[in-house]
Amino acid sequence: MTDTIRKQYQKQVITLAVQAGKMMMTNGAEVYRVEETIERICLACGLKEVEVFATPTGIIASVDSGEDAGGVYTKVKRVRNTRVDLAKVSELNSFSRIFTTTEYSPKKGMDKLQEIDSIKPYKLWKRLLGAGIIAAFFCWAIAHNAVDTAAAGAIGMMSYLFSSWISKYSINYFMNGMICSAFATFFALLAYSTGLVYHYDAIIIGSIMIFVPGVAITNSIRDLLYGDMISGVARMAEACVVAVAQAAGAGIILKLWTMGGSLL
Amino acid sequence: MSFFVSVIVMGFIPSLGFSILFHVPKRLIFPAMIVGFCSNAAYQAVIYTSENRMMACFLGACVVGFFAYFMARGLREASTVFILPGIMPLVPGSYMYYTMSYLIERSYSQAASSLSSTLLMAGSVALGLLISGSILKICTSLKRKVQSLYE
Repeated sequence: MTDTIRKQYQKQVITLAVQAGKMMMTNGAEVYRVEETIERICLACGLKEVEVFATPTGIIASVDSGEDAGGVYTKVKRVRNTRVDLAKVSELNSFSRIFTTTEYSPKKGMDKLQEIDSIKPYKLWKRLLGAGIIAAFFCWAIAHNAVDTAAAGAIGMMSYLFSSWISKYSINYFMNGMICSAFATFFALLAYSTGLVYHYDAIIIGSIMIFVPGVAITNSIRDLLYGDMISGVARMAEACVVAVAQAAGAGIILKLWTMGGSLL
Repeated sequence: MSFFVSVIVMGFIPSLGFSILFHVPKRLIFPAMIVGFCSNAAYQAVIYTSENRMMACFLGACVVGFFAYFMARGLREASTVFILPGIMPLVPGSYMYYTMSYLIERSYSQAASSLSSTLLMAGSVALGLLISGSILKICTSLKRKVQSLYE
């Protein structure tokens, strides 16, 4: 009887730990933080041996209770749809600290994880305002012109709205970056053709800065720094692919626009 | 005068925008903005004195690395929360765009020079983070060693 209880407990612990790790990975934490969290949670629950291998696309964790009768449990968790949400990372970070230093049952921990998972991002109008601010100020840094800045803010908001609408249909991230930057370029050229705006390139740059793969670059460097070579290289590749996709999206529209202009 | 205005405005506002997009918790938005401000001040100071964008990106990223570490230590948070909004304004998005537009105009030599400065700037952001991270790691392990000597 005690044997089955122990096995149940072991299963609960590894499920909790891997779920916490998966949530951290999806919301933009580095690999070493994910591995450390899983290890700490398992060790705090009294499991003797823990090995974790985490990459941006999947987590493998294996625990051993250290007793002759106890078995070895391994869990593989696939990670998809990375979306940065630093509030969740911060909450999970403090959760792992509290979990390891105080008495906390795995069941209660699972409830807490679900609570963290249901945290909503800022309201849409606030995020739109943020996107507008970014686009406007990067445009202002290049063009130094009030009309262009206002246009960039509006187009940045529109393209952010478009990207949040399009992400519902779970298109892959290459197409997402390409379509969003194409959208922004199209409206920048449309504004330019009305004659009110002088620097369409500054507006496009401002809107592109919203979707730039800075998170992938930063996390890849931090992964490489901690010796997680596979994750570092994978994230670097992701950054390159997203950058190329954005450039391609803007380039296609620019080329089509000049071709259309020569036809008319 | 316009230099100081641009330092102050360009430092605070973009990191505020990225903090909102990345959902930095409300109580941490102002510290994240301070990190962004300091990195931008370093960036603008190098641009103002020497027009060297690579050095500017490098120093800006170093400042982000150090300040984010100390903020994270002081507030007991994950340092990612401060690093991401601070780094995003340093990413050379404008050079990426110019490379692409030169390629479309088929002026390949200009495209090559623009591409190389994009890669060098992205590389120096990476190097800045790498070096500040390594120095901080060495410092923490040295501190631990000194503490163990006294005990």
